[in-house]
Amino acid sequence: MDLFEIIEKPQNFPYCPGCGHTLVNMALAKAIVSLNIPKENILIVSDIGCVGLVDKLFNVHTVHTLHGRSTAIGTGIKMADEILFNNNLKTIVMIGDGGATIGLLHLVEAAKMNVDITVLIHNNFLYGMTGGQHSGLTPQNFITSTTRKGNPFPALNIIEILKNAGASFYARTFVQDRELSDIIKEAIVHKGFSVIEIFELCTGYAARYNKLKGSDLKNILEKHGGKIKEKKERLSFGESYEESIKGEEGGYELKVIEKEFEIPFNKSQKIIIAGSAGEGVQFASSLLALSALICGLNSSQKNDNPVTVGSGFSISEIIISKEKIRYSGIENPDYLIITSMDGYKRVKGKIMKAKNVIIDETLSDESKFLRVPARKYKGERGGPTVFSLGVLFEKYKIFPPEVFLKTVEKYGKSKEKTIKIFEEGRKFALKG
Amino acid sequence: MKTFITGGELIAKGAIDAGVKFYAGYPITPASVIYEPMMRELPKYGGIAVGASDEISAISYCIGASLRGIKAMTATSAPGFSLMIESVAYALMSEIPIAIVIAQRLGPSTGAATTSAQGDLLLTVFSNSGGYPIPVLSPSNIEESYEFMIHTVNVSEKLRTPAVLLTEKEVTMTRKGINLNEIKKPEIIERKKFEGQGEFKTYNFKEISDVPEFSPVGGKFLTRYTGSAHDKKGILKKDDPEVIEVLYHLKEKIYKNMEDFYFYEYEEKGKDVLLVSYGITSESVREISDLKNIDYLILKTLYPLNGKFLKDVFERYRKIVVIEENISGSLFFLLRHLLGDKGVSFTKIGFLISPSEIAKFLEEL
Repeated sequence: MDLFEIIEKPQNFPYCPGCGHTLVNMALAKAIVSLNIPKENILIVSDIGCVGLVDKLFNVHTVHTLHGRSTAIGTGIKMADEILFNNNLKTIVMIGDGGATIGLLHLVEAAKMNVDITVLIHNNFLYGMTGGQHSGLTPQNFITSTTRKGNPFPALNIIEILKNAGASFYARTFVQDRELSDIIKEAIVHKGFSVIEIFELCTGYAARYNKLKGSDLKNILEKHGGKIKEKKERLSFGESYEESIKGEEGGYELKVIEKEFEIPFNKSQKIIIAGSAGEGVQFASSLLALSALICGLNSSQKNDNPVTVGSGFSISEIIISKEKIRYSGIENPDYLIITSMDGYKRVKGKIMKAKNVIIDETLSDESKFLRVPARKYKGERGGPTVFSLGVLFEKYKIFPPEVFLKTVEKYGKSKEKTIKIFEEGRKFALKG
Repeated sequence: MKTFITGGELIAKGAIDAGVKFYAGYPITPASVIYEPMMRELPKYGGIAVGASDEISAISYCIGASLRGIKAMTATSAPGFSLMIESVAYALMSEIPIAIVIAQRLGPSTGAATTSAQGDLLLTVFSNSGGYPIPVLSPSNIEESYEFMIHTVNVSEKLRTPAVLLTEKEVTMTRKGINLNEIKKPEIIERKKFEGQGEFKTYNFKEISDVPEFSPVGGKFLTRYTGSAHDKKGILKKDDPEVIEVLYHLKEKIYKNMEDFYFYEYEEKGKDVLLVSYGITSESVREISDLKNIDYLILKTLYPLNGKFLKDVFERYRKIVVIEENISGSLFFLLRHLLGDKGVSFTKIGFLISPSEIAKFLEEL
């Protein structure tokens, strides 16, 4: 393959005379040619900044992205390519200072997951395209258009960060390094995440402000940890992913609720169950909604809880109807079941609107309410709710108890305990 | 035959049945109920489901997978969508299909995670710089969430655009017994691929509203995707007539190809008052319409608007009440130029709008 089949002639590059980007592009092109990879199997994902002008210089697949997001978009492409295709696409992400810092988390994640991409960080110590402002990679005391007396802070050591994130190939060198093309070649061949940080001097700003020559670059490199190149064996993203889903099969089947009972049911019933989060209110309530479904009726269960799931209130609003259910909220409940203080506080505005109130005996002395010892069962998940449902079934005959027992048998958890507590509720209602 | 299910699970099922093979997500209430089944179920279909470290990564991974030729989606709520906006505009400009579910909760900012709301319509519709249209669909109840997830993937694939399924906490998290025969499955639409007829250009079109034929990165035709101003080949340019033409194309492509995607439910009873709503509030509108014999129009395509149809319907009424669960009337705002003086806005936040509240509002009108 001829070099200029895949890259423009350097005299047509848009870069300033002496810019390191030209050298990186040529080194990359040489690496691709010497690996003899078909151009359909090469993808360059570019970032924003001067480095982002690379697209039209290469005759390969190119994706020009957003600032910092090139690594993440390259990651998504390679995830799909590795698992859903034949894993032939060599994905090279070209970023500068800004792409590295804005996209730092994307780099860390790609390194962590060992996604098979090659990232070339063109580190020229500042933001060149926008006027030579300092960046997160500007060395301490370096002069830029926004740090005229020198950058007060040290540069991020991006390679150290990515090494610690799990990068399986990382290298740092400078742009005049004669081995650059070979290092890039090795990175492309490497299976897994590879990153090369390439030190450059921006001829437009860095060289001018800091009175530096190309030969000074090596000294800056030495001060920042020197040239390195390391690699280690790790499972790639695709290998780890496929390992994690081994044996997953079947399909996404919707669970069918069979009709088990034919019972007379006319007027729709609206039940609010209010208790404490972490006490299984919503699961136990679903047994009531399911009881309706196995009788061939309609039901809905609208839940409410605070942001946390283990503290504060937990509410289920259940509507049971022969007709189609539309609005799923309940303004005037037929039954209001309150099993804890958290629940009480949340629904107290509805107590006066409720036709029947079943409330834990410790929460109210009001004789109009049916006071029950629900909290006695709080040791069992869903206990206070299930006990109250036992009362509801026995006292108000909402459905025959067999309906609930069947529901538990088919859809319950800790079935024996649930049935025992439900029967306790029924017994209590019979006595009272 | 019934199933007992949340809208979130139906959305996940819809996505899988629509052919989505890539999901990347970051948890957020009330959209985590989509993330979890996708992580659980997608591998069974040979797909990839991954957790990302933030919403920007999530949508970026999806964009990447879609560029490789895979149907991709993510789901979030307004705080996460706010982070994704830059990438949504990128997908729009780069003509990359991607389906995004926004499960609305009470805002602004992180608001209240577990409180339903409908406050993010305008954020969604006007989310990109430049003011270009993206399709926004919305199921009007739990039953429809499956069907509309498929429509959303379909429209995004057909028009090569990001498309949003805008829904609410009370759709994604409320569990309901649903007849399986009520769940409708639209025909699945595949992205139109370039098959080698003539010269390949990443953004080729003859008519300005044509959707360019897609070729994936890594395919046999070299592609040039970009989010910067570009010609039909995808070469970054400015001040070029073709670049301007490509930009007009982004708008025309959506407006001219929506015919199959204007969804609504219009109940005509011959009265002079019309109720207009969308999403979960539609359920209360249906209920009060039945009870009081009132006309209603439920919009299931929220953007772009089918102006001609809406104008025609609105002309038949003396008063049009737009009912929605937010603070300033977002849908009312979108429709105002079509409503003229007839429009009245009824809004509320904090709880679902109930049928009796609508009745009371109408009495006081």
